[in-house]
Amino acid sequence: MQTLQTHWNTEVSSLLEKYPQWQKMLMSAIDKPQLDVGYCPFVIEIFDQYGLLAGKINKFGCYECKRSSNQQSKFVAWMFDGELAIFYVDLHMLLNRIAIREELTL
Amino acid sequence: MSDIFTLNSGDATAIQQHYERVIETLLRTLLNTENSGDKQQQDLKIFDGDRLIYGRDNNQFRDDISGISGQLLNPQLIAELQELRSTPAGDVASGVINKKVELDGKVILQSDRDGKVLVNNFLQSESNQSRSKSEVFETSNIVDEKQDYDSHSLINNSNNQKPEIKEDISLPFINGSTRVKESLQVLEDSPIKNILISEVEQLKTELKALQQERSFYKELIEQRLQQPKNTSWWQQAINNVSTVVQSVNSAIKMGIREFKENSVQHSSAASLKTLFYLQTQPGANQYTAGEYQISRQGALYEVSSEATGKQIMQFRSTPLGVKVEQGNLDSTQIQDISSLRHSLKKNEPLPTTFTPIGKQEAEYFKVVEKVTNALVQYAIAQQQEVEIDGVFSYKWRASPQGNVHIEAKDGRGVLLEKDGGKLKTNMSQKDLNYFEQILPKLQPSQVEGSRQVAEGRRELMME
Repeated sequence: MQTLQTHWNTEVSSLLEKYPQWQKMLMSAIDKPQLDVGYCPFVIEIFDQYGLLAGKINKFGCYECKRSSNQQSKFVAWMFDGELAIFYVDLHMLLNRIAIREELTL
Repeated sequence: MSDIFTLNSGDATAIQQHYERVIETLLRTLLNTENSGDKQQQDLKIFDGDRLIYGRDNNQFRDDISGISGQLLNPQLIAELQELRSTPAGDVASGVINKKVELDGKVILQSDRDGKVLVNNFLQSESNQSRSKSEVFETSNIVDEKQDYDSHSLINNSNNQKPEIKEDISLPFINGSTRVKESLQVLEDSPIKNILISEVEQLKTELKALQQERSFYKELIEQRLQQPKNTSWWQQAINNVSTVVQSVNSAIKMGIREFKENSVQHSSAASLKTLFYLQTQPGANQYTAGEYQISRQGALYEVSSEATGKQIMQFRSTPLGVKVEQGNLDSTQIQDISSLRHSLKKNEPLPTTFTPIGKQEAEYFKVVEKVTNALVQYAIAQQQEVEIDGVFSYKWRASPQGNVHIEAKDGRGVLLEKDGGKLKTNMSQKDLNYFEQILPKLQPSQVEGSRQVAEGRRELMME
């Protein structure tokens, strides 16, 4: 089931306002349906406000960037094949478009 | 090209000056130099070898970075300067050959013909400032805020620029994957949290393994890493690699070809995994269809052609997908699996090549009948048409006359329609398992009464 909250607390809302592009992507992703059952991303990339954190391509390779300790990630966004699929701020999961079918995750 | 217009020399000069200011601001941000209004304009010069490529030379202003006004900046050079800026003297900034940056006649950055950094005043001065470290960090945080905020407006149109990830090398670095794992640990416990943690752990393991071997795709991945702010780099690369890669060489071309082939195999494996999941009972280890057979041992799946008996694919199921171990699909097989994918997506009947053989079908209809009968019996017990709109998965209704309608709430639409003697079903094995599980709740209560009926109904709604 998609977990989403459109009424975020003030802290989260003001954070998102600082990153209008991400805010826009998040709002448009929230309106999209969940990913198809059994959908397996070919490219997974994970971002924070500084940009790419890590990426993984099936059978192709993995890569990552570095952060210094004063570069805290204010949010983390998982992109599946270029589509925003997961987005969270601290412990607040603001977007989860993955339909979990346990047998499919075995 | 048809948008040629003429303007007077005064306007041309104004435009040129404005443009120079834009470039200057960008370069200064990149190089992190000051240019406050009350200070006299500093003289910034950039050299490629002995050639001045940016800056004032006598009375002439050279600018090979931006080229002709209106064209995109030279992204390669911008990336190289950034690399040089973040590499300490003595280390090698790969690919940054013979570059020199001067500020007011003083060399502040320089690399030699091997990319070795000879001068880097920025990092030197940063490390010299350790005594007022906390102050420096606070300041750089503010700069970071501004930079990451500003650069977000570039996400979708900065394909040819390398936005800066500001680094302060005097602080300890952490790997991106470690950062992701830490961020996940803060989340509340949930199935998705576990899946994402497994995924990132697997990524970390593969990163370690990859460090051992020189990946064939290394060059392409390196190119990707040059645009860390771009969230759809791979999609753009596949559509037209030259939009994201400055110089497309044969290694890049081969990488893209390989990427596409892998992508096809990957989506094929994903469809076959979904097929197996939807069409078999939990714990089953084989699925035999018209022309293909899928067998499973734990997380490892093998797919073979029924006609030849030859294995055509081997893949492993992972927390968030599949990993193709071996793939040897011919064009017909790719086409068959593509039709399968289409059917699964549209919830249409499976193509004959993947239809389960007779025995499974007979069993399937037996269970469908059992489920529909039980729903009708429930309506008879209630003496009226019943409609249950579950919270999570299904919405269904049944009438004492024997009509049944079931639809999925996950977007697949109508799964079963029984009207008089007609039956149309697209229930998967998993759907049937669900309804079989709720059958006991549909049995008439031992003690009749409206309270029990209401409670049973409420319980079903919560399914």
